[in-house]
Amino acid sequence: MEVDKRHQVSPYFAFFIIYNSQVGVGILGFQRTIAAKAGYDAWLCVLVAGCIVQVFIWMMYQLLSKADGDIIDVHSQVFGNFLGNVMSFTIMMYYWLASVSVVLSFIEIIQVWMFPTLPAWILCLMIFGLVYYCVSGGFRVVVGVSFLSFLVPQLMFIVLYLFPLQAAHFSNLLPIMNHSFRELLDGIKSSMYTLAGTETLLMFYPFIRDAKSSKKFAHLGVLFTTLLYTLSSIVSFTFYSESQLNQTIWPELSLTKVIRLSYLERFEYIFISMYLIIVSSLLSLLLWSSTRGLKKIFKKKQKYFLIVLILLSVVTSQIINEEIKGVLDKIVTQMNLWIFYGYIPVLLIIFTLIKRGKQNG
Amino acid sequence: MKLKANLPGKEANSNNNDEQNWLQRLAKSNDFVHEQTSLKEEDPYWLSYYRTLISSDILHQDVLPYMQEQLSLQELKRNIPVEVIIFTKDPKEIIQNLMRGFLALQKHEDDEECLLINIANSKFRDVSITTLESSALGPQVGFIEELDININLIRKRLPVPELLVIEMKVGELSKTNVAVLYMDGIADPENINTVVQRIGDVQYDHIQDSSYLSSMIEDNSNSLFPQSISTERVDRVAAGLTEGKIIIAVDGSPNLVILPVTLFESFIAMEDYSYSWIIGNFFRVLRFSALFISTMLSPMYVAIMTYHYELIPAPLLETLVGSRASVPFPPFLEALFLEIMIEMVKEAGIRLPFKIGQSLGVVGGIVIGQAVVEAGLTSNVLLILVGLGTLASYTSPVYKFSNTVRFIKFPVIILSQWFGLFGVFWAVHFTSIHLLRLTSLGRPYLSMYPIRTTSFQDLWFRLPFSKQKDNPSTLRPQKIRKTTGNRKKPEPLNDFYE
Amino acid sequence: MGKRILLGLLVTIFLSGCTMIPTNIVNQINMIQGVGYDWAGKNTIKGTLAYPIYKKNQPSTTEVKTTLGETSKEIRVNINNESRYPIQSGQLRVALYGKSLAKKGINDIVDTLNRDPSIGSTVHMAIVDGDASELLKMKKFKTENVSLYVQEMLDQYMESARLPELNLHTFLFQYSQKGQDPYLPLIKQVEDNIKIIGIAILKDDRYVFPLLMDDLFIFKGLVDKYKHGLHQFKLKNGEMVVLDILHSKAKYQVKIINGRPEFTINLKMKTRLQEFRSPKKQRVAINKKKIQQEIDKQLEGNALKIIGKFKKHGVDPLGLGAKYKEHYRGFNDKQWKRFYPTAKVHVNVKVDIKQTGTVD
Repeated sequence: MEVDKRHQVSPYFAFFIIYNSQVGVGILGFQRTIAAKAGYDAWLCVLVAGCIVQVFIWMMYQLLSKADGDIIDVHSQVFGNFLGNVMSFTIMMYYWLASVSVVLSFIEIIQVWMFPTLPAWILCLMIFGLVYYCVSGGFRVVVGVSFLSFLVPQLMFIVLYLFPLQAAHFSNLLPIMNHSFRELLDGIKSSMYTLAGTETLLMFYPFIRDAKSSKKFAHLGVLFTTLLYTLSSIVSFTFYSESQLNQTIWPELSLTKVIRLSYLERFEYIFISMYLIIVSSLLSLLLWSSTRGLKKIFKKKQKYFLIVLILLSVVTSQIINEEIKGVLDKIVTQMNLWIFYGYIPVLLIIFTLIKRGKQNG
Repeated sequence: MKLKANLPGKEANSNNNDEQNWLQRLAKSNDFVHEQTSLKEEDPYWLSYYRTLISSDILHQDVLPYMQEQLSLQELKRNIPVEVIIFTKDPKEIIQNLMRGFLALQKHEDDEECLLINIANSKFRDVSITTLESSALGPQVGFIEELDININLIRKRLPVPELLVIEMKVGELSKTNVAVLYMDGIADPENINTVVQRIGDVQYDHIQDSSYLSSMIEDNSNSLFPQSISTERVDRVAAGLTEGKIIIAVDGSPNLVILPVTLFESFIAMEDYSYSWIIGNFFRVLRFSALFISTMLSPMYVAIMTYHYELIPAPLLETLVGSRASVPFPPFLEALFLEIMIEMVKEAGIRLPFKIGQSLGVVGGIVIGQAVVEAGLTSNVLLILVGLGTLASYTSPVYKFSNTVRFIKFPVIILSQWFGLFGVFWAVHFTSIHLLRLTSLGRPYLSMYPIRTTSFQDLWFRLPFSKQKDNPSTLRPQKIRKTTGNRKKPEPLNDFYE
Repeated sequence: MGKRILLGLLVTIFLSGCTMIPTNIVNQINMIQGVGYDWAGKNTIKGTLAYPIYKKNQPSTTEVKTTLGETSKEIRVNINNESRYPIQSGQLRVALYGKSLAKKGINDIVDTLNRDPSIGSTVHMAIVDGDASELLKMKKFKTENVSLYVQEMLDQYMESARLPELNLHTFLFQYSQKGQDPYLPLIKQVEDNIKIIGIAILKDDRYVFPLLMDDLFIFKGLVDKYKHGLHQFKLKNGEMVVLDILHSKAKYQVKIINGRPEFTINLKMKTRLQEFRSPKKQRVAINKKKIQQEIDKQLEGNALKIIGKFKKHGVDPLGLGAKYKEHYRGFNDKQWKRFYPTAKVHVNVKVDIKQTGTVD
């Protein structure tokens, strides 16, 4: 299925899509998780994890450029139609589960910080209303929202690091490499999850004009997010003491509490509200990928899948409790790790062998 | 819908019967004149015309003198010193032209062939200065209601054969003349085709103004944002043409429509080009920030005052809370009340005659505002904010856009009442998605995405003329360069540059 | 289509006045700006809340209410039943702790400041030498906002004088940092005035001893950076020198000798001369070098004196333990506690008089 040229975007947008796919609610709280694993050496883990993701991006490009299509094409070429579709379906479900996990975390933040009594389903409907409007505008709009979310909130939030940096204790980071290899490995593992999201490339690859040339932009995108996460963790590490960070659920949000301007205080309220833009653009990307895949698998209109998935998410948001959410997060983390970092390399090898075999035979 | 679809067919039917005896059909109207020149009894001419449409001067001075001799219609056509004379038998054409102020001349009352002579009364408003889009510097001339004059004004500014006009007639009843103008070799032919096709598809009884047409051919007619710019400024139209834009001029409308446009063009005033590029940019930034001021100030007030009191810095607290201390309404009603009041003042100011309107503005703005604050119904901080927002909404050089800005704050106020800051930013994000989805003639309306380098030259910024080298590439112009070259490198200014 | 739009419009209009979330309309809440806590014995705390009352076209007044309770939120609840509007803590600026309470430990009460998302982390904290509720209730501040007064007073003194930058965040940081003890400003009601009298040194969260004004100068030099700050030095020969600090920076070096840490603190100060008085009652040329050296000595002695005091009490507000941890991978809290009282600390002060004003 060739993608119409009018729906494609220029190669350099790969940067923004990759950026958007990686930055979500995770950045508000990952500092604590990785510091729990590898202490204040964890920022090194982020850098290492970033390098691994770069390799992963390279592998995906290899795979997709060989197939000249998305993951569903790859699957159907490798496993045939039925089994291939089953595999693809698992991946689409992963995208959806990831989006549910993102939206639940964001709703939790809004409830804790702003409106403790606002029911989850209302927030969910509002956020998904935006997402529906965005996704139904097609891929170009999804990319446009990624682009805007980079331009407007993200660049601004980076500037905001200046405030906590005034109170930074850089010596907190010393001594460097004070943790065992195992601890660092654990830290890398949990950093991998915060950097997750690049998997969406498996779906949007054919939507990039001259996709092969977009590779360097994708790498740049990963580089940017890696640096962003590293910077963010360094800012948090220098701002909090280690046991303080351990208690703080959303270090990045609590950071913004120190911002005091002559006309505005307590920036975190604006921060959270603006974060809606980043979160909903990530959700749009995930749900676009998911529904695009489902459309291709079941050959029905994308609209129906989107509505169904959104309704399912809203229902989930209402019935969910702490425990189920923990399980959900775990499932998503594990799926991310195994499907993408375990399965894709294997798939690449199999696919290469099959292609070579075809050429020889 | 159904009714409209049937209309043309029905009309065609009735036409067939009536056109045969068009005389009878037209004579129903009292201002229709059908008479005989009684100069020579044996071989008179039959004249028919609408008394109200013709110029009797032309009739008496240029046409009637030739009637004294016995000439055939063909000879008359050669002799009469009037530009447009048509010899025809087609009753449809006869009716159409009679309606435009032509004189129909027949040898005998039941002759089929007749001579149509244009003696229309072409009195119209003089070309005058722009009324709505005024500017301090730059050309002041504006368009008027007469299509030919408007095209004349444009041609004067662009005296090149590349400026082409496609004339069309739109409106089942109004038969309005519509002209599509473009620069051949610059404008994208695809755009021209789209415009012509969409205008051709319009089926509507009457077109009173270019805005009728522009909203009929817009990509998304449910949007608040105008996807075309209607302007009365000749310089704006001419500048647009040279960039590859398409102009729609409608007879009877002093506003011409520019297509396709982007959001940021609504912040561009032609005056920007009259100043130094730095000052021009300053004004552009000013207008752009005015957009945020006018749409965000009162919703922010409502959100912060209703939910997020934490955001107020301590020194501001006394001012803000003190001014609201005795206000009995929630901030939402307070804001809504003031906003609606100001909108009413504005609306009344436009509807009322000029002189009354002016004094009403003073009464409404100052007196009522002061009284409301004195009475303790609203806080004076809000009065300042609303006043500022209203002022800011008028900075857009495109009138239709400033109306959008005026309207858009109401839904945002409601959202901010429901969800506080979250609602405000929800609205911001919704608007940005909407703008991303919008297209104008299939070209992205929000010119930020995809990024075009030409947008830096003259859209978001206005660089000095020496740096504005290319036509905006979003229009896919066929002629890419705007300048053919820089001026020669000047002599070194001083010893330093030698 | 038209019907649906109409319905939507009607619903919007009818609902637009409603809110789904409890509102906090600014003039219908009482915003606490200052709180004070004192020990009332038997596990109960005497809590005092100060909130402003705003009136139109009139200066605001402050209302101060006191009640007993076991937790700070219980105090809030108790006061809520005698206030006109619900009490909200999102505008909190100052949290004061009476000395009696500070001696028992303040962490339990600080917890709510940290936990409550509506409270910012730049809230100023201070220990009151005396009773916090008395201070908030001072007669003088019936018409003036006492909380903002204290906040701005502390702010100004941190910016331009001898108080290091301190607020809720720094307290939490120091409290939870391994190898560091926190400190808070110490204020006192002196007759009809509120006065900053020094710094309260805390061990964990308990008040130990005060560091009074004279020692504060060098203390800030050791823990923070100066941007402003006048200080007067009395030289041996009776000359008085007033220096304005333009910039200061302390560098900590840690050496491990025989398994024990040894600290060297290098403090550099850039100053300008603001006032000079000689006992000779006549104009004397300034011997810059000599003055600098003597001041260096004085400050070094001063620093060693307070460090000795810290060691004696076993508190570590300078964060030497944290510095040690940064340089020694096998850091062990217990071991450090044993080392600390005998740890060697060297202080090198270098004062540089950059300008002598318009005369020299």
